[in-house]
Amino acid sequence: MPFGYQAKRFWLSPMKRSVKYYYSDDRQLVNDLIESNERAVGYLFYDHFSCLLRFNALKAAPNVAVDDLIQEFYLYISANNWDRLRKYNSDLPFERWLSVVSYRFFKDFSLRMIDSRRQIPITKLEDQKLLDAGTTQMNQIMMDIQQGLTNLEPPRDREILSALLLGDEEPQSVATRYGITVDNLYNIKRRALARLIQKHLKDYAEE
Amino acid sequence: MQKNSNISDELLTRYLCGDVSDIERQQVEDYLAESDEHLDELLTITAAIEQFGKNQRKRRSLPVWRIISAAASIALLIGIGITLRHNDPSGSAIGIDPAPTYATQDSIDVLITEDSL
Repeated sequence: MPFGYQAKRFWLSPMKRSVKYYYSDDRQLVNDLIESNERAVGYLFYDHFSCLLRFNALKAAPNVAVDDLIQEFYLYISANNWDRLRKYNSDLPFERWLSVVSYRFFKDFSLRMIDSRRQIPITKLEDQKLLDAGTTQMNQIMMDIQQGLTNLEPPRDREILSALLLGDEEPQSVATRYGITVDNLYNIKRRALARLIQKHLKDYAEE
Repeated sequence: MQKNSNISDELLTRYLCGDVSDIERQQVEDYLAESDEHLDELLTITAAIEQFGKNQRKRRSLPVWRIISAAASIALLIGIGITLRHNDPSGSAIGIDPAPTYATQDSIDVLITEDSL
């Protein structure tokens, strides 16, 4: 089987022992992980960051079983004496770094699995709940963005995004109105949305 | 992973933190503007971070039922203590020594008299 499918889940037992422990310092967690501290490994994969990893896995790679993905991710960041983790810049919030790295890993893994014969895995009830909560969060972000459109600069981007998101106008007619191509229109839309998502996360962190 | 993208994980993380130069910002926004998939990536990563934050806040706040059960336990212990004390004035049932008896001058006089007899 590819990608260590049959590998033992050797990390499951020490993980369960880590529940209830709390790291207040990202750097300490990373240092403990690099030393392969069982409690830190459990904290990352089984306890504290489990919901973040599982949600990203469910979204990025719905064609692969979540537990397999988490195991592969463990192998990825612990490979070569935790080489990937050693590149983490401790000035950045660990959960943001982890979210970016894990999502991209899962996505890449999913793309590699497309041609395999694996069946679409059955999602566990708790994972379905997690997926629903995360999807609701995504919808909430989009709703907040639509409500916060008035602050978007420059005005042209604001008007284009309003027309596409709120006015439900045909892209072709909006593009013609602004004298641009439809490709350009989508380009402007994505850039504007990216700025708004970034601002949304910044506001969220400041709350 | 950097195989299917042209910006690094670190740069995207810094973008999410608002910690990028103008050139880097342009670089990230070029990447995100390339396809809906890239934008969806940003949205999912952001949702995961926010959902994680919500879960942590929920975990750290003490649930009301825990406070109530803790208060009830304390009240029950106090109640048991009072009941035992009430039923056994000596206090021995809850580990308190009976009230000590002190020698008075009269009792000493009686003892002296008894000895001298």
